[in-house]
Amino acid sequence: MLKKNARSPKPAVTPERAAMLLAANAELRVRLEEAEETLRAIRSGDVDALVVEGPAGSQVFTLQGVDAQSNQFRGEILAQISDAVVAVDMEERITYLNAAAERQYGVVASEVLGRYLRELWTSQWPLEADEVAARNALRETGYWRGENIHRKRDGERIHVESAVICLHDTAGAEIGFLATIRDITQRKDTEERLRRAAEEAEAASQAKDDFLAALSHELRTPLTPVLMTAAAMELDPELPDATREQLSMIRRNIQLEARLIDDLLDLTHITRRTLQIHRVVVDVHELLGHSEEIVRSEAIDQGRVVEFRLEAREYHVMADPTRLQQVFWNLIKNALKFSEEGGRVTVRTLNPSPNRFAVRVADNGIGIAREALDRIFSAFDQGDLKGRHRFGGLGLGLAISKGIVDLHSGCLRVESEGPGRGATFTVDLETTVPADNHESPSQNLPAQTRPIRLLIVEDHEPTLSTMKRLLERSGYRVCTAAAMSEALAVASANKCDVLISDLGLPDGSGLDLMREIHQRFGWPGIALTGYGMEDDIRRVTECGFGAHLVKPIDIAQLRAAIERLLAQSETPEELSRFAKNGGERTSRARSGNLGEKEAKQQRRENEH
Amino acid sequence: MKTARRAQSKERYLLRLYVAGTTPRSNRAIVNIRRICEEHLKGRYELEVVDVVKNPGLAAGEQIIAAPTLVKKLPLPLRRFIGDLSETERILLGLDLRRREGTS
Repeated sequence: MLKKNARSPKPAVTPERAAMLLAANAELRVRLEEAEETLRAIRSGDVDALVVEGPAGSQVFTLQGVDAQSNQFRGEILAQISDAVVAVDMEERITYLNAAAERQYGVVASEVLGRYLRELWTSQWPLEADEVAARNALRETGYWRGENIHRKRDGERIHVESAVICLHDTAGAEIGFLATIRDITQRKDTEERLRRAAEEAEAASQAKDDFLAALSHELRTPLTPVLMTAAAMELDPELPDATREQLSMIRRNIQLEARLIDDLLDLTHITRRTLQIHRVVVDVHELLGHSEEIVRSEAIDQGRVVEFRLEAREYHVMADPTRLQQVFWNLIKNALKFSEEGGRVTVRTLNPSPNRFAVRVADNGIGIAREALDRIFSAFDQGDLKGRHRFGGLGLGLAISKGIVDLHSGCLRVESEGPGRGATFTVDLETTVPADNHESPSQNLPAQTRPIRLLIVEDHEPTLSTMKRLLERSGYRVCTAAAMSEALAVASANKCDVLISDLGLPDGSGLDLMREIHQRFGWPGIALTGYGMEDDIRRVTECGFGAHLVKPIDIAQLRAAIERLLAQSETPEELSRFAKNGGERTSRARSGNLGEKEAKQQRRENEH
Repeated sequence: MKTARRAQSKERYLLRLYVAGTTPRSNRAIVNIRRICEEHLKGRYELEVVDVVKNPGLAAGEQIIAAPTLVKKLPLPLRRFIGDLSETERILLGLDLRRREGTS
């Protein structure tokens, strides 16, 4: 090799000329070396193309090796692919990028090859842990797929979904990574818009539910004193029959309105999945027996026939009797409503298969069009009858019934062969083994005649005085208070058996009052609320209230709750105390029948 | 003059790499020369990549007869390197970025 700084002047020429010749010589040697190297490179296949000067200008001849075809094919695939493809070496220098990657990151391959990947984009991760997880996955499995954000050189941020694999040489050593990167910004934006829309819809729906709950509370509160007074006057034998009939009409209509409000509230609970059911062993035949009594006379009044065929051999289920009764009544009421004059409604029970119990309510009424069957259980929908206003109600009954049956892990189905050909609704439930001598809560509603002392706390004066009057008429001794402080004072001076309190008192919460009373005197309590909200119910239970009633309060329900609480808290001493009272207390079994009947009458009217 | 240039470490380099399309060899040549430049000439080089398939005329002007070929246009003298430029030591020597053995 020639040394560039060699100095060996010869005496025949001037030093300047000698230097010039030497330099020229050195340059020629370098050129020769380059020429030889070029030749060597061409021979050993180290070049891709030759440039040849011809009469038509320069022409490029590409040289292709044995792998050329498959290489070209692979190259074309990578160039054609719409996802960006980028390869890097172990130091994260870019060694390859396809046309899509050039477009996606706004670069030309020749500008960025050999540069660090971070000069093409910087990754942004939602969580630092995500990046760690990605790196771990690549190290451990040689593969990672996931989403993150790429911030491009121009500052633009794009959402990407990447699949990264580790690259190996033929000896198996890691030589870098290959990433396929899809720009999913548009999809993410759409998802985000949908998410936001869903959130807004959710918020609106929540607001609607809250509004319904508040509305029903506000609508129900004024009904309480009116309902109680009308109910009491209706039973007053001193009033003329005509007046009592009118009072009965007033009471029925108030109860009808309360029922509509209850339906709205039930529906809110069902859509929020907060409806509470309390399952016990229920004899469904007995339950249907009560329905039969109620509907038969009504059906006759309307010129329809109702037939009960209780044919199931197994007819006990685990259910909330009140709610199940509500379902049956809704179905029967519907069947009657959508039947023509002279129509027939059949209520049949059967065991479609072992351990299954079904109630079928069939009518020969107006039927349901095939296309309406799917949405028959949607709220506010009365099939294709919209706008005809022929049928009363809000169209909530079936939606509520379906929700209740679903909560019982059962199935509510509808079949109809079409308009004018009737409809059949089937409630399908799992059977259970009947408990011995089981008494379901719905049957456990006896009236009391013995002087039980009650403390009623309520700040709404008309409600308070009406309750006091009606409960006294039922034989209770009643103390009253309009506020928490007053209640505590009364409680200290008068021993009572049960506390009945509104939750919202002017100087505190009924919950606090209950806690206090329960601690100091050990009395059980009944909470009265206008909301009927699950939160209230939960808090009520936590605070030691034994029962919870939603306004408007009906007196039979209240009496039943009092009786139930006393039965639960009865101790041998208390029983003997009552025994000493000279048998003033009627036997629970006998009075139970009377109270039950009254309570059922009340419920049944509610259901109307 | 050459000695003076070597002492001048802030001299700017103008390099032109002739490639033929986007073959794996072309890619390797770009990656290799850019790595060398970033390590030894950071901030004082300009690398231009010319595709002879797209611009055959440009190659002719430089008397290029094969691709990939790297041409050191500045500092003078002009130097050419052929192939994928993976022999780093040879390139460093040719770019005058390494002292040759036996010189001081």
